[in-house]
Amino acid sequence: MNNWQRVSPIALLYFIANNITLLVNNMIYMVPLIFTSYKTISEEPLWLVLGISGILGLIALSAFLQYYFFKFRLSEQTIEIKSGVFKKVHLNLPFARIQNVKIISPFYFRPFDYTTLELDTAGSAKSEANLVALKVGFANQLKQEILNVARTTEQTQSTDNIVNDNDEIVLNRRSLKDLVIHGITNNRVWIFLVLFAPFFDTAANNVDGVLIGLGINFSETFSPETHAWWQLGLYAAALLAISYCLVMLLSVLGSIVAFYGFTLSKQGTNYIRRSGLLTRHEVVMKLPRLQLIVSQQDWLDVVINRLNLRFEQAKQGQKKQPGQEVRNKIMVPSINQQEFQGLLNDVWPNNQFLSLSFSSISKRFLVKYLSLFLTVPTALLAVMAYKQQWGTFAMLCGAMVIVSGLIVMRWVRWGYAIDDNFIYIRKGVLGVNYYLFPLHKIQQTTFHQSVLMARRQLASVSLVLASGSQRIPFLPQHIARQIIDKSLYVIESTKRNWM
Amino acid sequence: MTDSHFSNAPIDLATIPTLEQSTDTALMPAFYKTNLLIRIAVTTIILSLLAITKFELFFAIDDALHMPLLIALSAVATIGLFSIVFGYFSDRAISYHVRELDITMRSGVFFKKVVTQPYLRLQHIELKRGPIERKVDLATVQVFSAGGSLHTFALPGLSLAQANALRQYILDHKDVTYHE
Repeated sequence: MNNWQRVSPIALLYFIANNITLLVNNMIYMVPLIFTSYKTISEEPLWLVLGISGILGLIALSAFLQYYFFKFRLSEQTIEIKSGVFKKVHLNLPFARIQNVKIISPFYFRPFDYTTLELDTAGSAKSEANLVALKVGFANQLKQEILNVARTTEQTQSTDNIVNDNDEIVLNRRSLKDLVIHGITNNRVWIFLVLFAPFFDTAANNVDGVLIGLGINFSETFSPETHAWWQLGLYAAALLAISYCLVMLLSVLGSIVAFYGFTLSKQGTNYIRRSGLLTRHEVVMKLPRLQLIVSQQDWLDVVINRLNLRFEQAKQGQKKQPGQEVRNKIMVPSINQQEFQGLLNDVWPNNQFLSLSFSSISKRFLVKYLSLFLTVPTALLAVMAYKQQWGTFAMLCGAMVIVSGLIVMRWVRWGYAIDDNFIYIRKGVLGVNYYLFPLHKIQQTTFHQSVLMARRQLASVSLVLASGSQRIPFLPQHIARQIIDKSLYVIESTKRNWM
Repeated sequence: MTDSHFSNAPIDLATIPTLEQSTDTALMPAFYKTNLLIRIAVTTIILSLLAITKFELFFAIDDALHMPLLIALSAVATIGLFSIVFGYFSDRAISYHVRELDITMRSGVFFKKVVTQPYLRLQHIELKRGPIERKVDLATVQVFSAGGSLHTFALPGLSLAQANALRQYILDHKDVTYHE
C-alpha cells in the first residue's frame, strides 16, 4: 500500500459533525449578532431561511473539501497523512514513535462498521493524528501492527511475551447495575454538562417561560406575601429534593453513556479499555507507561463498599488540554474489593497492598490546621459573645465544629506505608483514596521542613511521578529521610526505566 | 519477564547512602551580591518615582492624591526593605551537592526544602543565562524530568565554568536504563 489514498466517503459524516461542534462552540460570539438583527429576522423570515441554508451549505462544502484533501499512505512502518484545505499539513509518523493508539467509534460510524484511529506521540500535542473512517477490521489490524512495532523496539531481548500476543483476556466487565451504582455514588453529571455546555444560556433563559407555560409561576409561588414561612420552607425542601433526584438521574445516565458495555482486557502487556453508549472509545495503555494506581472511594462508595480504580499514565507534553487528562486515565468504575485486588495483582504482582498496615501522620498536622482555621473564628466568637449576638454565635459555632470535624477526618485518613518496591498512600476526608506506585518510577524527591516542624523532628515528603506529585505530610523526620534515601537507592541501583 | 541484570536481594537500610552525610557547596558570592543589588535598585527606583510625584513642585497634583501616595510610599518602602533582607537570607540559604548519581539543592529560611534529582530521570538539561547573569559570569542549570514543568530542578548562582562542567557531568552520567 504505497499509494496515497482517500478514506471512505463515510468520513464526510465525521467532518460535518466536527464542523457543527466547532460552530456550536463558537455560537457564543454570534449571540450579539443574532440579538441586533433579531428584529429584521422576525420581520423577514426569508432571510432566516437563506441564512441557515447558507450556513449548512458552508458546513457541507467545507466538510467535502476537508474530506477531499485528506489522504494517507502507509509505507515501511510509517504512516503519512496529508490534510488541510488552506493550511496544508503533511504529517510523517513512524510507528515506533507512536505511544498510544485509541479507537473511537462515534455513533454515526457504528452502523457502517467504520471507526476512527487516534494516534498519540509522546511530546508535543501537535503531532497527534486522527485516521478518520477506517473499516473496523483494518483499523484493528493497523493498531496491532503499530503496537507490535512499538513493542519490538522497546524490548529487543525479551521475546516470551510476544508468543501469546493475540489472545486477549477480558479482565473486567461492568454490568448495567454497576453503572447505575456508579452514577449514584459518583457525580457523572459533567458528561452532560460537557455535551450541552453550548446550549446552557439559552436553556436557562427559557426555563422560566416553559414553567409559566406549564402553569407554574415561580415568583408567585415563592412570594412571602401569599404563603406562610413553613409553606415556603416545604416548597424549598421539595425543590431541593427534586433537583437532587434530577441530578442523580442525570448522573446515572451520564455514567451509562460513558461506560456502557465497559470491558477492560489484557493483550500481552497492553491493557485495553472499551466503553461508551453513543461513541465507543477504545484506549490502550502499555503496562510500562503506568505510573500510579488509585483506588477512589467517595463517602457513598465507602458505605456500599465499592471503589473506582484509576490507572494513571505519564502526562503527555507540557500543554494541558481539557479532556486530555481524562483520556489518559483508564478508570474501572465501581468495582468491589475482590475485583480491585485481582486487577492490582495482575498489573503489579509483587505489591503487598493487602497485608500492609498504614502508619498515620503526626498529630501535629491537627495542631497546625486547627489553629490555622480556628484562630480567627474564635476571636470573632469572643466579639459576638461580648455583643450578645447569640444567633450568629451559634451559627459560627456550628460552622467551626463542621470544619474541625473535616480536619480531624483528613488527619484520620492520611497514612502511608512503604515496602521494598512500592509506596502506598492513603488519604481523603469523608471518602478514602489509596495511591500506590513503584519506587523506581519516581522522577524527583523533595524533603520539606519548616522551622516549627524541625523542632518536633517532623518533615514532609513530596515524590514527583510522571503523572504528578504525591505528598506525605508530617512524618517523623528520620522516616522522611529513609523514604527519600530508599527511593533514590532503588532508582539509582536498579536503573530500571520509568516507562 | 526475565532480565539478567535484575536482582532483588534484601537490603539493609543502614547501608544505603544517605543525603545527610553529604556536605554542601555554597553558591558563587557574585550571586548574592548581584541579587542584593538588583533588589536595592528596583526598590529605589520605585520609591524615587513615587517620591518625585509626591514632592515635586513643577506642577500641582490633586490634593486627594497626596494621602494615597504617602500610603503607597510607605507600603513600597516596607515591602522593599523586607524583600531586600529576606531575599538576601533566602539566597544565602541555597546550597547544593553533587553526588555520583544525583544532585541535591537545599533552600528556604523558614520553610526548608531539599530537592533531589537523579540523573537517570533526566529528559533534557538547559543552561540559562539572562543579560545580568551574563554580565557577572553566572549561570543557572535547569534539569528537566518527566515530572512536568512545575518540578523543573533549577540551580542558580553557578559560575559559567561550573555550570558547563556540571552539565557535561550530568550528560555523561545519565546512563542507559533497562526497559521493563
